[in-house]
Amino acid sequence: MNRLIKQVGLILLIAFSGMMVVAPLVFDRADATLAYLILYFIALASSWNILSGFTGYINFGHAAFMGVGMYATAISIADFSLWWPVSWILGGVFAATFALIVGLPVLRTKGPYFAITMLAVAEGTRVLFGTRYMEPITRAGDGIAFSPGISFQTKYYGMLVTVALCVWVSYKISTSQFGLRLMAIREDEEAAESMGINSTRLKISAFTISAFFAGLAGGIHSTFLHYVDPFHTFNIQFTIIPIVMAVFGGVGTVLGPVIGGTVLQVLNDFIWAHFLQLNMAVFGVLLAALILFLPQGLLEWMKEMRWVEKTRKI
Amino acid sequence: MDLLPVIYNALIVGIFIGSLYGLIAVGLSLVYGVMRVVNIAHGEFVMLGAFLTFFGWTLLGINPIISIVIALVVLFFFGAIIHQCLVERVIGKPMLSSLMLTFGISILIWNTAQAIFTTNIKAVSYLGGSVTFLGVNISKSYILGFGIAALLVAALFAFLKFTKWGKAIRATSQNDEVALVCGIDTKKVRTLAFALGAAFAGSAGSVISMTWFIFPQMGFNYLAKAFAIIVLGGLGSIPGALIGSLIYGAAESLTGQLLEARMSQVVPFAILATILVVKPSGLFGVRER
Repeated sequence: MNRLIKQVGLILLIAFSGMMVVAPLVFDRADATLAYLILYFIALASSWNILSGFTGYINFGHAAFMGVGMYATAISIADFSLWWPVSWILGGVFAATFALIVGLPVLRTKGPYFAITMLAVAEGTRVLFGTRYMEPITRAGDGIAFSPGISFQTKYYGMLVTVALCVWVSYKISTSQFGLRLMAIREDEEAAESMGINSTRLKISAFTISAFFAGLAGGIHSTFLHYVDPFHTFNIQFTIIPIVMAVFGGVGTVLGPVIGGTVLQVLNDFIWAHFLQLNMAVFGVLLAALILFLPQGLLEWMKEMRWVEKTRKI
Repeated sequence: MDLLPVIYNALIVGIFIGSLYGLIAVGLSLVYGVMRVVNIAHGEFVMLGAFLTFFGWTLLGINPIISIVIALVVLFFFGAIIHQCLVERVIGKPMLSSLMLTFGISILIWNTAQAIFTTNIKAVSYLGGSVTFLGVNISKSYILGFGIAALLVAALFAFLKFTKWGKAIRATSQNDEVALVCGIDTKKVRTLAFALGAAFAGSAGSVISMTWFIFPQMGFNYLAKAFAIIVLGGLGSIPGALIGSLIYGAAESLTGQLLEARMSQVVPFAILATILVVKPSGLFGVRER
């Protein structure tokens, strides 16, 4: 019975991957856009999971990295008319650099200190990008409108490659010594340090990798939106939704964010169509309910039920 | 521009607004001290107090000063219910659970408020005008805020110092297991602390509605400020929160005067970053267990 369920799971995974690869070729524009948004949120959830899932450092400011990536890409296309693949990668590079700078002081903090400091980092970045001091670079509150001139399919496959890379990196981390060390930090940081683990360096590495993928996904998404401004780019919903997705699928797992991202983006699409005003409240309720009733997430629960092999690889 | 009077002005104003932030921070610190939970929904209690006052005034014609007491009582019971039904279930679980749970509650409250109250910016224009105090023009609502904050914080100190329940709260924040062994109903103590924190936030929100603009998503600003303050003073230390709030108010007011008003929103982060690098336990930090 359980073997059958495991095989069904594998088949579903392959079918899902195949569907995502052919989506823009066979679906109409509306469904292909939904598929694109699913990929976008998987990229955000999976990149959030790289730091917060493996090290247990809850990042409430993930939108900051996504936003910095969006701005980097938008500015490099609008002002410097760089070739689009370069500007996409610049999005990731700028976000990673930003994480490195912010991480040095912020990752000295633990638990709630870190969580709320990151909330403040995201808000502070948003305010900073909107002030007149940054106006020559960011156009302050006016935002930047630009036309990258890339087809939808190019953006779609760019996002697909980003997701594939991000999941592959998560897989590599979870099966490597690096990942084991990160998980040791999550379980007991003091004990890990006394075993000779340089926790600061490891946390900063994970933080930077996490920010790189968020920035890359943000950069690609900015060419999809053709517009960036402080309010929409650093909106707290881009922190909330990926967290709920990762918690739903299973924090600290490889495929959890993929499951959470897919299921909840379909739900999100439905919510937007039917309860536009309460779209965030639904996620608030969902987050609270998950923490109370299914704190380990769907995937971990399936592992407990032996429906999925109990291994860090999944 | 003559700099010295500007700085003097900003410092005096800073003490007044700092006392109002202190009222919010004390509650957050009390809750953290008793149950090691950072309540992300704390800012939403401020917002609810503010809107309670606003609608009491516009719809029912209730004097905003009376509304301060109403907000205090309503938020006390609201806090007690939230704690009993939700927060109590994650006590003793990893930090992730309580952070995520209160984050979820926070999102639910502000988004629902947004749907009901709309995102329009509102204010209670009750205490307009200003008075001269130590040679500085101070808005009357700042004076009211200072008075309310001083009164409530003094009452809290007396409560913690002299009553049986206050003693139970102090015992629980020192060591909840031993407190339980000594026959203290720590669950009731936690509910009381959470309710008091919510009540203080609500009354602060009520004064804020007479002082600044209010909108459904305002809670986060005050959470960030209150958190910066309790980190500055040391998590869980109530005197630390008070001194931290005065320093914070002065810093914010100075930034607003000397740079750009919007830059004052970056102050909480700047203070947090500095303190965390220089002295992570805060000025009066209690030892982590």
